[in-house]
Amino acid sequence: MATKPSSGDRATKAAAIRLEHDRAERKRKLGLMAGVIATIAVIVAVMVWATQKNSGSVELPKVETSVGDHSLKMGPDSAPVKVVVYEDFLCPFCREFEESTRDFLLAGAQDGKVQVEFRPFRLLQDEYSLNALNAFAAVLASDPQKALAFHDYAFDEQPYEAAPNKPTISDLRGWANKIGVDKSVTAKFDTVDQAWVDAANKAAADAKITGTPTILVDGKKLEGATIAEMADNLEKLIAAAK
Amino acid sequence: MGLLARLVVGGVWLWAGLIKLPHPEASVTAVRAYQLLPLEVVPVVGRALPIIEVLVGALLVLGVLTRFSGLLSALLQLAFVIGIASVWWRGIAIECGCFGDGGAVAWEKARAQYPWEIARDLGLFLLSAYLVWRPRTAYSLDNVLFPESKG
Repeated sequence: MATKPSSGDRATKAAAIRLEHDRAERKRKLGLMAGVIATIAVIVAVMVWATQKNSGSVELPKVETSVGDHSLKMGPDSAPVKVVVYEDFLCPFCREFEESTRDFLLAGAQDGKVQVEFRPFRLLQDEYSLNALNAFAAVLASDPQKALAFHDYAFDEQPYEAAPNKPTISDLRGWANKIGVDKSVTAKFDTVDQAWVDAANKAAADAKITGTPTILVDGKKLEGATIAEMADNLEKLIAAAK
Repeated sequence: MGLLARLVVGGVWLWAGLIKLPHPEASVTAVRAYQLLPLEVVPVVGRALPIIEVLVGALLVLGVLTRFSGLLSALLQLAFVIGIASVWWRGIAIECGCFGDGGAVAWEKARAQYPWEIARDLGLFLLSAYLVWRPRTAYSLDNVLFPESKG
């Protein structure tokens, strides 16, 4: 570079300093922005991870189970609180109820505080609703503990109500296989046990159940404007019982 | 104008997010009710949405990274408009799940609500878009964090 008069030299120096300053300032701003955005991303990721349930495992729930009258019972007969759950495998709010109450109901049943009677029946006039119920009935007849695992799994995997390609009977068989249900049992998934389905539906009709999920606690209908509210009320009722 | 846009949009986000935050499973049901996203991603989206809404709301109200948070806000509103238009089009009757509730309702009620919900979200979209266009607003933390360069 050619030497410049001293006044120009000063101007160049000043410009260089300003440039350096601007560069540092831009660097600081970029760093700050990146920092804020990265912090937001981390907060979201951690919170999602924290609220996520570790589903996917197909371990059998370690709890006393028994076969009721076209129903599955979880928890001992001696439990002070008796909960009855009327549900349909395809009903969206039943899925929400299942996912929001499963942990504390299982814990309560293990502690002998609550006995839950699951009464799935066919409310929705959909092929999937019937096939899932029929598969559940077959597993229940062979092993109630595996029926509980199958019931939970089916709600975890619930398809969209309007989906054109819902899980097929062979998909249901795949779920049962993961749980360890015997082949001789899953073979029964193909034929609908209409007598069982009718009896389950009649039991619900006799109890005047017109919608799902309907939950009875010691014979009284569980109140709540939303599923979240119902779940909270149920948890409190069980906690309050001795 | 910019300050008003920030407070209105940010306030709505904060409100919507805080209502949903304590009930992640209800939020999952609301997202499922649209029957739009692949089932595998629904739980993550349902649980993440309330958190993202609260954060976007807080950023807008405080005026932090206004262009970025305005863009995020605009994109989310656009997604909601598409979601509501899609269930309307397909004849699925649901609560939008915007502020808590969510899930099936009677078709008559849903059909009466959809236009208003879309109008509301479009309004919020326009306010968010304005902030992308003019992110410099009064009383924002951006003015402190990223002062306007002199000269």
